[in-house]
Amino acid sequence: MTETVLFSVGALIALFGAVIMLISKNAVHSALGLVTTMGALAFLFLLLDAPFLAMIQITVYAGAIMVLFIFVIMLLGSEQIDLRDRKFPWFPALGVTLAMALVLAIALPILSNQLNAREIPAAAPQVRVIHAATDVPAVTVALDALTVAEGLEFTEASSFATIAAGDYTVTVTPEGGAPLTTNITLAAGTATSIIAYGTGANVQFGVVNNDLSTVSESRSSRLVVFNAYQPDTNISLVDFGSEFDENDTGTLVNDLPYGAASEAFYVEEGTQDWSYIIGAGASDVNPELNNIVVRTREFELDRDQSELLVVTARRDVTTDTVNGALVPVGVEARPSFGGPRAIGIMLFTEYMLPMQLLAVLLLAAMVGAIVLTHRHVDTTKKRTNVRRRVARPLTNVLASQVGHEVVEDNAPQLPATTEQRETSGD
Amino acid sequence: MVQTDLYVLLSAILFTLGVLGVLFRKNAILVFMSVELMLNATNLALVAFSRQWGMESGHLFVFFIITVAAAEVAVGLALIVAIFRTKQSINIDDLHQMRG
Repeated sequence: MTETVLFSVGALIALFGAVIMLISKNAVHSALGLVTTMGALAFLFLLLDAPFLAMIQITVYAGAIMVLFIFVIMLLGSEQIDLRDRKFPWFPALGVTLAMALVLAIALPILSNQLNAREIPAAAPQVRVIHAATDVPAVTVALDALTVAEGLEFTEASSFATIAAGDYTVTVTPEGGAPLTTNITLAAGTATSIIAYGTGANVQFGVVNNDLSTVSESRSSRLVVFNAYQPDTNISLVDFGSEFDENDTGTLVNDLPYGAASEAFYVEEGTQDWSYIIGAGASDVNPELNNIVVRTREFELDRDQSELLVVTARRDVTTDTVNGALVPVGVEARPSFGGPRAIGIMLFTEYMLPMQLLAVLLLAAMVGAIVLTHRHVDTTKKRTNVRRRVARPLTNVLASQVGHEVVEDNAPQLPATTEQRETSGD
Repeated sequence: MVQTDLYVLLSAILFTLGVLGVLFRKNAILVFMSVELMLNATNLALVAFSRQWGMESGHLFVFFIITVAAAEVAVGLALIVAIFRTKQSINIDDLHQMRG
């Protein structure tokens, strides 16, 4: 409702400016009308989730281009030129008729409601595999017949593979081992992580749906913790805070069961000192206790990421003990729609060549404008003609002044040598 | 949410106003300004469709159109200044000859 009101106001202002531009006699008023329209359009761009373009519209259009227009209008002193057309009095009627036909032609698909009837197809699902199974060598992962990862070592993750929606059988084949299978269903528009966890004899599969949508919190990242440490062991993610303060321990994830993923939570960017501990996290946890699975003292967290933190166990071959290990799998979340980041990413990836061509075009336009305005306009030509007329036989000069021919043979003549050209302007 | 068709309708009307300006105005600068209005109207349609389809390619095209319009205005106004210097007029009825 509010948006409808805002749209109506914006649309009315835009139309008002355009009509002012069209009908005002003074060119400066027309320019101001166009500025109004451009400002209203920038406002409509904001309504249409295009904040970057709204700013560009104001700075480039309403700023740079309109200043150029007004400057040229003032420079040429051409504020007022008669609107009426004396040669073709029937022209306005024809023009208005054609314009009405144009509006009708564009409005036809709108009136027949064809624009909103289209279904927007959802994006194809994405899938990746994370190897977090202890004592399992490198694996080859296939979805039905499609191989998504080959030679995936322990603690490694494959990149996202785009695949058609549907049911798939995931086949994980360890090197020199028997293949393991699981079934998953991939829906359109989702990003799925398949986590292979457990130990060599008993590999299980966990499926986590990753939320890659825009991180709405500013300068933050979205995190999900997956517990793949050891069977029947719950873990918690705690931030002990300062070593000198007993009471600043924060619990980010509490009591996560084995084989489960936590709810998504948001953390601001920066270096984090986090500990993954066995059991429930509490405010009186002592960091000296040996229930810490992993401690990441300098975990760098960027902004706008969708992080999946898999806590697993790594076997130390020398001592034959099992230690905790962290597999952080980060992927960039979608940038906010229409924001400068999204536009910039597209400009420098998909639209790199058009942008370069455009830069060349702008350069050519700049050079062209300079050449056009700097071109030496030959103002001396007309002046020379005027002087020459004086240098003609005096009879002609007299004739032009008297108004009729003065033909006398003995009329005084200017000597031919007086012909001179004036080269300077004034 | 205002539906896309309202934006497209507004864009069509603005475009037509631009066309009328090109047809009726005698001032070459005003003709240029009308062309700018038409470009703006197409930009509005592009952004509206871009939101409907959830794709940012439309924004990129608007970005390119704005850039091209800037180049066009720079060259066009330079041309108008050059014409004014030779003809002492920018009434398009006086500019019916290709000869300078």
